[in-house]
Amino acid sequence: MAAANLDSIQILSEAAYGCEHLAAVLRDQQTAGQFKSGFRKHHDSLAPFTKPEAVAVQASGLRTVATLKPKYHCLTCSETCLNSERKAHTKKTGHVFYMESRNRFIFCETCVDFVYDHGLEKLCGPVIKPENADEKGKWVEDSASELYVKNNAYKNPCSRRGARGVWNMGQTCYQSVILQALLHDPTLNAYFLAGGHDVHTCKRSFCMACAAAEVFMDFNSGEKTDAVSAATLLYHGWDASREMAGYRQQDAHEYFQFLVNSLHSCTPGHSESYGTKCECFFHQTFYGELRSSVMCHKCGKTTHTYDPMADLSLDVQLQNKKRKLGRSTASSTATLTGCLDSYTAVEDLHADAAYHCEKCGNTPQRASKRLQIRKLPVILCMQLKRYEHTSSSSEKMDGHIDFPITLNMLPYTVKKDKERVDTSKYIYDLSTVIVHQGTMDTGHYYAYTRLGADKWALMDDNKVTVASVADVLRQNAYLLFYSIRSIDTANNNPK
Amino acid sequence: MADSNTAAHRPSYPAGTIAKVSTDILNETFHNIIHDLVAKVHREEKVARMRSAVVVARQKAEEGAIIPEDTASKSLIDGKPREVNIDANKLANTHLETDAAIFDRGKVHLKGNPLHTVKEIICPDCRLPRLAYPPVGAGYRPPPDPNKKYCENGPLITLPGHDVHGKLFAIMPNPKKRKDQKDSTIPEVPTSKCPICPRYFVMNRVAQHLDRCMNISGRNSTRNKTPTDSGASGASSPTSSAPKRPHENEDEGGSPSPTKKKKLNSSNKKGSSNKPGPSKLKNSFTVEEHDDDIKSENADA
Repeated sequence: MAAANLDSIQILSEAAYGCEHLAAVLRDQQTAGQFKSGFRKHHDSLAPFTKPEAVAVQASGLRTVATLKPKYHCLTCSETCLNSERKAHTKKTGHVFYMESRNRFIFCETCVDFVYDHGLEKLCGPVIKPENADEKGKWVEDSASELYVKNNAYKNPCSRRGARGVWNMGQTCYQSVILQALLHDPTLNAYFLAGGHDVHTCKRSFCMACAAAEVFMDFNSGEKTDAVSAATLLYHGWDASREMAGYRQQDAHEYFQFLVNSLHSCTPGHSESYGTKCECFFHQTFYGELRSSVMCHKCGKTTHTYDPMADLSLDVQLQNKKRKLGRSTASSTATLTGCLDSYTAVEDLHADAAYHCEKCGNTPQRASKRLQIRKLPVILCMQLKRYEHTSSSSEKMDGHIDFPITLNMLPYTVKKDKERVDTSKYIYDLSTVIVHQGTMDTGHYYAYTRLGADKWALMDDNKVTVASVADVLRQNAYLLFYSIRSIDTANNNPK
Repeated sequence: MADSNTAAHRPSYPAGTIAKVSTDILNETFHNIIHDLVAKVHREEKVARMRSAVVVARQKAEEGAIIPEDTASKSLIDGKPREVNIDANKLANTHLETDAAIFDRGKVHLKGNPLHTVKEIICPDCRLPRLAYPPVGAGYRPPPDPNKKYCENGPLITLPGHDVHGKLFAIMPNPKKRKDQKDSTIPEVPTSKCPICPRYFVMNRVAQHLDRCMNISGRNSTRNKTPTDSGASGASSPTSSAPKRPHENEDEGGSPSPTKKKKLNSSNKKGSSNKPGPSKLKNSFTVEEHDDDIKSENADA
């Protein structure tokens, strides 16, 4: 939960090296280079790769696995030891550093402890996103301001950063919950706090991004613990959209889409045209890409179409029906992964649905269709469609749908089975759960938000209370926000 | 971080049997789950202590490198936290050792294992010690030194009727009470300025006013009606305040003084239902005149 302007201070509070012994190796240019390349090699090879399906079923039959326990890979000679064998290896060879296979931490046999080296961990992080790189560059280059921050940092009292509510201005809890989902995201915080949208030079009237930046700045301002007001954002939003306007309840999901869309159109350099890809910050953060493939049953020709997606709307009903028919597996509760499975499953288009295959001379053909994700967004919003439409009325359905705290999105993406893929790049962490309480027409929204590694809070408008992970996972969620797990340690560490 | 050698109590099965393989897999899976949990906590704790060691060493070094200020300027900014000027050159040449770290030319090197050398977690941002347990509420422990200042970013507080900061939930301000009668320990819902007009509203009335101030609900239906007509139609339309009441009461049910609030609500209800809303409001709203101007302009056009 690091604010961008605190990045430079954070670096100041990191030790130069993980431990004295590591320092001895890394100080010397020559040994450092050797050590670093060995470290990188091991780090990459121990990444949690998927097993290509062809390899998984080996012709030779079963493979003998000695143990499933974590192994320690010697960083000097690539020997693999168990926890109990490590000491002997060090005694024999004098090699001191190992990489543990499950978490890829470094183990120093001289310390007899895991050591965490800031520099090495940064080395193996992913290539930093362009936005962040720019901002970081700005801060490092600007040495005068860095020095000022350095000298005055500790005078700013801390606060429980992020543990602040958003005022309900009267039926505006739909706005409050969406803001809570966004206000805790490190990427968005970095963008708004580092002046990604320049409020002072922006000349747009009723600019949504300016209003949002105001909320982000207010939210992060120092020692305040009370709720923030988003009146300007509400005003600008009402001005921009007639559907969203007025003193009445709104759907939080619609508001999310509206907000992301209007933030995008307030960003300089955005592109509205359908043909070209928009490269604006909000597109890069919120938008993924869906591939919809249609295969003609007669000629086997497959056509792909690609569409941007801001969120996934998952049909809860579909899974319920399947369960009734006994087609789904034995699990008794509906699950998010089950919803995703059916979302990305192959679906038969009936002949009367009139798919016209080009290759078959534009005649209606039986075909099957499949949706898959081609590009995953940084912030992934998923809606669980909890309503049932009949000809006369719509009804909301309550009931629990299991959702995981970490989610592997790899199975729902366009991926070739034979490729070896590092699954850690597809892991998402739950960041916010939005719950709707009430009926279809009226009700109340509240949000559960992750404040730190395992710290969660219930954000009920202005009221912020502690929630446990179990509380969060027990909720009848309506909207789920997941954010991609970056290996960038600055964001993962608890504050 | 050592493997727990609990093999003594494990039932052993002959090698090569399914029972042996399955118990092995189960045992080692549990081992790995525990291993990962412990590794996570270990990392969190060790990194926090490493940072504490670094911050303490750096702070000491900086204190040594402060440029002494002349007394004249000191008296000027008395009582406020002083601007501290640090001699960057002096700092760069400082070499200094603490129990846990060595400060050397701007870099801090660890000395020994911070899990042994560091006793107290220091917040890297405010450089104050951080409490390990909340001072009040569930799982509280009194702070080790009640007179010491601690980092505000401490453990979250769980206390009924209070938020994570240990503050009471805000209640609706009671206009009948004078300021000196109010309990200053209970925070009140603040007011916020309307983004358009200069009036201030209690926070949870802002949207309702904004709707009127932007003339949204009246945009299509009430343009050509008399004030009384619009008032009546406003009360019966789905966007009016009527259907919202039950939910709001329920919403505020958990607040410390439900009786007060109910009274407040019922009096409000009376006010809105007895008198035709807009006409009454027009007398008091400075902006409604402006609104009228727009309306008449629209009517002209």
